[in-house]
Amino acid sequence: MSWSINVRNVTKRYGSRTILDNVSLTIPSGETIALIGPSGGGKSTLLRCLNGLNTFDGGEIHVGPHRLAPGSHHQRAQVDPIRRSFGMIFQDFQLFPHLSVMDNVIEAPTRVLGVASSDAKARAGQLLDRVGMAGFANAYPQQLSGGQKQRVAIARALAMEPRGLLCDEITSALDPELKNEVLGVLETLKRDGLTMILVTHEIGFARRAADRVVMLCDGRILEQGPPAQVLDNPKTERMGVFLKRVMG
Amino acid sequence: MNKTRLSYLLVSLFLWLSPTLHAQEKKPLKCGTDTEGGVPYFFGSKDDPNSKIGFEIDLIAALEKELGRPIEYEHTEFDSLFSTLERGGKFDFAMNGLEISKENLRKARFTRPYFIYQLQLVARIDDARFTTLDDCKEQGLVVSTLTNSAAHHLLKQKGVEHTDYKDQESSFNDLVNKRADAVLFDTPITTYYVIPDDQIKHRKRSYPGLKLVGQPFAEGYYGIAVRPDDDELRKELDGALGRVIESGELKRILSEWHLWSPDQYRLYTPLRVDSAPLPGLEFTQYFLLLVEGAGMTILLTIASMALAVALGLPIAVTRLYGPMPLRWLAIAYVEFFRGIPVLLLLYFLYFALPGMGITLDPFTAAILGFGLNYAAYEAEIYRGGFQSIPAGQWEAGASLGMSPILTFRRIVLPQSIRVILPPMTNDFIALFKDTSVVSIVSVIELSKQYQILTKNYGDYLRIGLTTAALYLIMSVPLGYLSRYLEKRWGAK
Repeated sequence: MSWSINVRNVTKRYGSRTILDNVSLTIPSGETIALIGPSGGGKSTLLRCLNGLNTFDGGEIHVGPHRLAPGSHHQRAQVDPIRRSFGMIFQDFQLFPHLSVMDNVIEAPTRVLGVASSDAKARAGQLLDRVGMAGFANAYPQQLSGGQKQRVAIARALAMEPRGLLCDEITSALDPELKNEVLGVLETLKRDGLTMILVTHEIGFARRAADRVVMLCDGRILEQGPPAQVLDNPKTERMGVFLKRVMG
Repeated sequence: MNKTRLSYLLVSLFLWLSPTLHAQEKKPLKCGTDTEGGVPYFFGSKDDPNSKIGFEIDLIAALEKELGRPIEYEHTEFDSLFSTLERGGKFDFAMNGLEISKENLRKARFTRPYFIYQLQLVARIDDARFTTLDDCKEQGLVVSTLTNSAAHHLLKQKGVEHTDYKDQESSFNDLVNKRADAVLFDTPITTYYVIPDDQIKHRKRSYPGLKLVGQPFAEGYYGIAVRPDDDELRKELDGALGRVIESGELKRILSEWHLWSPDQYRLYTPLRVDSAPLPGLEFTQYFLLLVEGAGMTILLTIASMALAVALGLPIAVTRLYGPMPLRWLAIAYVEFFRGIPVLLLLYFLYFALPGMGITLDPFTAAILGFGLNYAAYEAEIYRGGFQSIPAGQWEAGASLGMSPILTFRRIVLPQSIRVILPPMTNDFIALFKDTSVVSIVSVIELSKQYQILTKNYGDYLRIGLTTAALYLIMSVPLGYLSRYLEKRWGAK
C-alpha cells in the first residue's frame, strides 16, 4: 500500500514570527521533491513537521493513514509509525559516536523493531554495501570523512526499511568533492522507488533528480513544478532573484 | 587646660596605673578547664546560664584566697586538657575532675588529691540484665562514657564494647535511646544525673527512668594537673590545697554539693602518687591502628558514594525529564542538601532522630548523611552531563522511532558517562577526606584514630606524618585515575 504525504493549510508561529503560513502540499508516493528557497524561509521547519520533530499551530498533516494534528506536542502513537516509515538524514550527520558503524546501523532495528541481531547485521551489511561503505563496519564515526558519515547515516535510516527519506540539507556540511558520493546514493534510492523530500541548496542536483521543485519563501510556497519549469522559467520575480544569486 | 579636663586626666591616669601596679605583685594564674564540663564540676546555672557554678569553682575560690593570687579560667575541651597543658602557653594548671591515673601521669604531674571518686554503672530502670561491668562484658552489652576519662580507659582495657563522647549528656542520651545498655561514670556525675532527690539542687532532671546498678568500684582520685617540669607551681598549689583541706573548707564545699562522705576523710592524709611515665607507642603498634582506621575510611567512602550515585541519578533524570511537580521536588532536594553542612546533617541523623523514635547506629548514620549530601552534588554533575549531549542526538534517536527512554538509555547516558566521570572522581576524593568528620557520631576512622593516639601518647609529629601519608596513599592514585579518565574520555 503506498503512502502519500498531504500537508493541508499548515501554519506555524514562533512568538510574533510566522514561520509557515498556510502551507499546502501533496507528495505522492515515490516522488522526489526538492524544497528550495532562501534561508529562514521555512523549508527545514516544514520538513521537520512531517515527522513530528516540530509541532505546528494550524492545519493538519497526513502521512499515509496517519494524521498529525496541531498542538504543543504529538502523541507517540501518532508519530512513531510515521517515523518508522520516513527516516531522516541530518545536515550534521548525528551518528552515535560511542557506537561503531555496524552498531549505529543495527541499533534501531534491534531495539525498536525487535529484529534479531544476526538478521539485523546481515541486512546492515547489505545496506553498507549499497551506500558504498562496505568494509567500514567496525570503524567509528570519528574515523570517517563527512561524506562517509553521511552515507552511514543513510544506511542507518534505511535499516528501518522506510518508505521514504526526509533529507535536511544533507550535503551542506560537505566539501564539494564529497557531495557527489552522497548525491549518487540518493539517485540509486530514487530508482528503488523511495519517496524523497530534500531540503537542499544543490540546484544542479534538484534539476537532475527531482520530479518537482517547490520553492518556499517567508513561509509560503511561491512556486512549484517540474525542475525545468521552475528553475529555468521562474514565474515570480522573487524566484528569479533567488535563482540568479544561487546559480551565479 | 582647664581644671575639669585636668582632673579627668588625672583620674583616668590613676585608674589605668593602679591595676598595672597591683598586677606586678599578684600575677593571676590560669586554670584550664572545660567550662561546659557539666554538673557538678563546672556548669552554667539554670537561673543564669552565663554565670558558672560548680564544686570546683568553689574550690578554686578557696584556693585563690589561700594563694593570694587571682585565678582565671581558660576554656579547653575536656579531652584536650592534657595535650594543651603539655604544649603550654594557654594555662598553668588544669582542673576538671582529672583523675590521677597512670595514663594521665604520662603527660602531667598532680597535686595531692581533692576528691576520692568511684566508678558507678547506670542502667535503664527496667533493665535487670547486669549488676557488674563483667556482666556487661560477658553479655556483649554496650557501655557509654566520657572520652579519655578513667572510665573510658577501664572499658578499653577490659575490652568492653563502648561508645564515648565529649560530654556526659550524649552518653545518657545513648542509654535512654537504647544505643547503649549502660553508662559508666565517676560518682559525682551519677549522683547528679540519676538520684531523684530534690534536695540535690542543680541535679539534672531530664533523665527519668534510670537507676544505679551494682556497687561503686575502681576508686580513684581527682588532682590538679601541672606540667611535669613545673615543680614550683605544684608545691605552691599543694600547699594551698593542704590548707583548704585542713581548715575544713574542702569538707564544707563538698558537703554543700552532696559529695562528702566519711570516706573522704582520707584526703586529710596527703597522697603521693608519682610514677615514671610508661613508654610511648611503637611505630608498628600505631601504624596498625591507623591502617585499621584507614580501612574504615575507605569503607565509608565507598558505601556513601554508592548511595550518592544511586540517589543522584534518579534525581538528575527527574530534574530534567520528569513532570513539573516532581521536578520542583528534585530542585528542592539539591538546593537543600547542598545548602546545609554535612556535619549538621550527621548531628541531626545521629542525635535528633532518636527523639522521633529512629535510632541509627553510627555507621548507618554516617553513610546516610554523606549519601544524602553528596547525592545533591552528583545529581548536578549528571544533569550537566546529560544536558551536554547535543539535541541532535535526541532527534536522531527520535527520527529512527526510538522512544525517549530508549534514546536516553542507549544514546544519551553512555555518552554522558565520559563527561561525568572526571568530576565524579573528584567528588570521590573530596568525600574521602570529608569522612574525617564522622568522629562526632563516634565512628572511628583514620582521623579519629589519629586524635585518639595523639591524645594518649603525644608524638603528634610522627603519628601525624603517618596519618597524612596514609591519606595520600589512598587519594593520590585516585587523582591519577581522574586524570587518566579525563585524557581518555575528555573533550576532543
